[in-house]
Formats: sequence, structure tokens, C-alpha cells
Amino acid sequence: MMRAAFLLLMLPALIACAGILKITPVSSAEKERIIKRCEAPFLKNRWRLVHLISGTLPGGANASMIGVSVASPQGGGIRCILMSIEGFVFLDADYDGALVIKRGIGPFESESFVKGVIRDISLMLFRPGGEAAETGSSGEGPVCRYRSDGGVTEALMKDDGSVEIRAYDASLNLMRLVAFKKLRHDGIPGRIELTGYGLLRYSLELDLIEAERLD
Amino acid sequence: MNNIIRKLGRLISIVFLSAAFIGWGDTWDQIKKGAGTISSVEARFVQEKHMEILSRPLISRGTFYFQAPKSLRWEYTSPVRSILLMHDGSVKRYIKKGDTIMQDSSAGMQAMQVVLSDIVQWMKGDFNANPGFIPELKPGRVIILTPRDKSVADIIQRIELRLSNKPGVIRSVLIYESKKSYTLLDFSRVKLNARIPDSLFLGV
Repeated sequence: MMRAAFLLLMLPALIACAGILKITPVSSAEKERIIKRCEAPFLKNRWRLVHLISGTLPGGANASMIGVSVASPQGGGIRCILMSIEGFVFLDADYDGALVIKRGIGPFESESFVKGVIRDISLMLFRPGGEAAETGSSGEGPVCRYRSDGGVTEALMKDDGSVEIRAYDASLNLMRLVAFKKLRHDGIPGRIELTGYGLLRYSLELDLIEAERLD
Repeated sequence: MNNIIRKLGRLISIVFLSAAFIGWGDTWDQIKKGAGTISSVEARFVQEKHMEILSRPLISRGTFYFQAPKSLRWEYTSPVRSILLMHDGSVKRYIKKGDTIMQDSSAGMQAMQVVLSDIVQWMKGDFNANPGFIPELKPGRVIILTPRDKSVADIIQRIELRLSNKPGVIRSVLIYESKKSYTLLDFSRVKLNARIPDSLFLGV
């Protein structure tokens, strides 16, 4: 019993240290099919998305807010607003290569904090940069691996039809885990779950309220 | 014939009631006096969030309950199910997602405590309670609250409260964060002085 409890407690740490997946190559036709599925949850056009965001923050506090984002995958521009359910805006930020905080209250005054928010949004909405460097099958399902100077990102197809993103730093430590669920017919996920690892652990659940294509 | 008399009677009573309400909301004393007759309020509300980033406002709906002296339940039913409770000075927020109920324990709840305390004071007809805002009474039962400090004005430019023609009732609240970002709360189907069970302010 104690052992089971210990294993449960250690599970997040074990996942964080598990390392990148071992990929077995597949035929080029199968490779193309996998890449298409890997990139299914990411935006292909400019969209306005409204989410209910519920999160467990570092330290264990729970928080809920509404997030509005206008995201353009071509160029990676993001306008992001976070507000309370009562409509009080905590953050209004614009990122288009450079970050502009139009309104930031409390922790959202900090540029480095908001840069982290924008990084997380980019990870959830945009396909990883560059071409899929390795594509194939793994013990956990078909997978695409993208490499950049900052680290490695893997998109993994799960048996239940959902897609999982694992983002590692340059030392291959798992930094973010993103699960896309309830994919709609237009490819927009009805639910996104993000877990941040590292020194400050947190988790976010984004439930889609509204989605509007803008181009 | 009886029907016509009943209709006439109703019309006369409406005229009399309207006459009684003329003058309500013209002075701070009248507002406080009107609010003093209120022991509870139950109202539906529609919240419109207007922002430059949105092509149409984000609409939320729910029910608002107030019980004197200072109990509130601010319940959103769509698009998000959220319940904000204030009772005996403590403030709690719950979010319902499917069958799951999650309590918000973030630092933002401290700010909500201040906001809800202000709303309780407004329900009592006291618009001077928060020293951070200068209240102004305008013709047509409109109260404007303007921040005294620039630091507050950078967050909230002004609040406009429109009073109903029913004494003690607020018809709408308009909160301007900037010229292009504001929240409108519009109250309807107001029930006054009905018995609201305490349990409604204690939990979800």
C-alpha cells in the first residue's frame, strides 16, 4: 500500500525524467499520414478563441479565468487577454516578435512572466517550428519529433484519438506536457490540458467557449 | 363591466405608485432611505464584456441574490458555471465543470472580497463607503464613481450605476476599464424582500 502511494506520488517526477521516445522508422506513405495527424490540433488560420481556463498554480492554489486569444499561425502573432469571470481584465498583451503589455495587473506586470504565458499559448496553438525531424512509431503510439536550438518537441498520437505534446529543454528534461482532447470537426480542440514541469509545477485546463475563424 | 373597473383600478394604482417613486434617487438621502427598505434582492443578470479584440460582446448570464446585512450570491449559469459567495465576511468562488466543483483559492479572491464589500454597500444605498472613489449623483438616477488615485484610474476609469425607478434597486452597472474595454451588468426580473434561504449563501 505504502509502495503504491509512493509510486503515485513519484509518477510526475518519473514522467518528467522519462526522456524522449524511441522512434522506429515507417514507410514514407505512413510518415505523411502520421505528420498530418500530428499537426491536426494546431491552428492553420487566424482564429479568435475564448476559453475557460482552470489551473492549479505553483503552491497548489486553484484559479479560474477567461482567456481570449487572437492567434495567427503565419508569423506567430498572438493577442492575449486574461480576465476574471466577472470581466475584470488582468492581462492584455500583444506578441508579434516583440512583447507589448497593454495592461498587466499583479503577476502579469512582469514581462518575464507574460513571456512564459505567451510561450505556453504558442505551444498549445501553433505547430512546433521547423520540419518534423523524425517521424515513426513508438511504444506509446505514432510520433513526430521536431528539433530546434531550444530543445525537442514531440507530438504523440494516443490510442483514444487524442494528441499529446511533450516539450523538452536542450538537456532533454521534460518541461511541458500538452494534451489535446475533444477535437472538433474544424480541428480546434474542445479541451487542452497543459502541465508545466521544472522548479514551479502547475497545470492548466482550457475548455473552449467560442471559436471564430478570422481569415 | 367588472373587468373594466378592475383594469381602471390597476391603472390608477400604477399611476399612484409611479407618483410615489418620482423623486426617488434625486438625492443621496432618498437613495439611502429607499435602500433601507430592502431586506433582500433576487435578480437575473446579463453581463456583456465589450473589448476591442471581440467582434461581439462576450455574454454571460446568471442570478444575483442579496440578503441584508451582507450576504451575496453571484451565480453565473452560462457560458461558465461559477458561484461567488459572500457570507459573514468570507468570500468563496466555486467553478462547476460537469459534475466537478472546484473552489478558487487564488490571490485574486482577496480582490473579489473588496469588490463584493463595495457591492454590499451599494445595496444599502451607501456609495461613499470606498474612499478610493468619488461618488457623483447625476440627473436620471445615475451615479458615477470616479477613482481618486491615478493608480486606480489606470485599472478602472469609472463606474456608472443606473438606479431603477423602484426605490432601492440598481438597474445596471457599467464598469469602464478603458474607453474600449467595459463591462455592462444589466439586472432584470427583480424580486424584493422575498425570503431567501441562508443555505444559498453558505455553499453550492
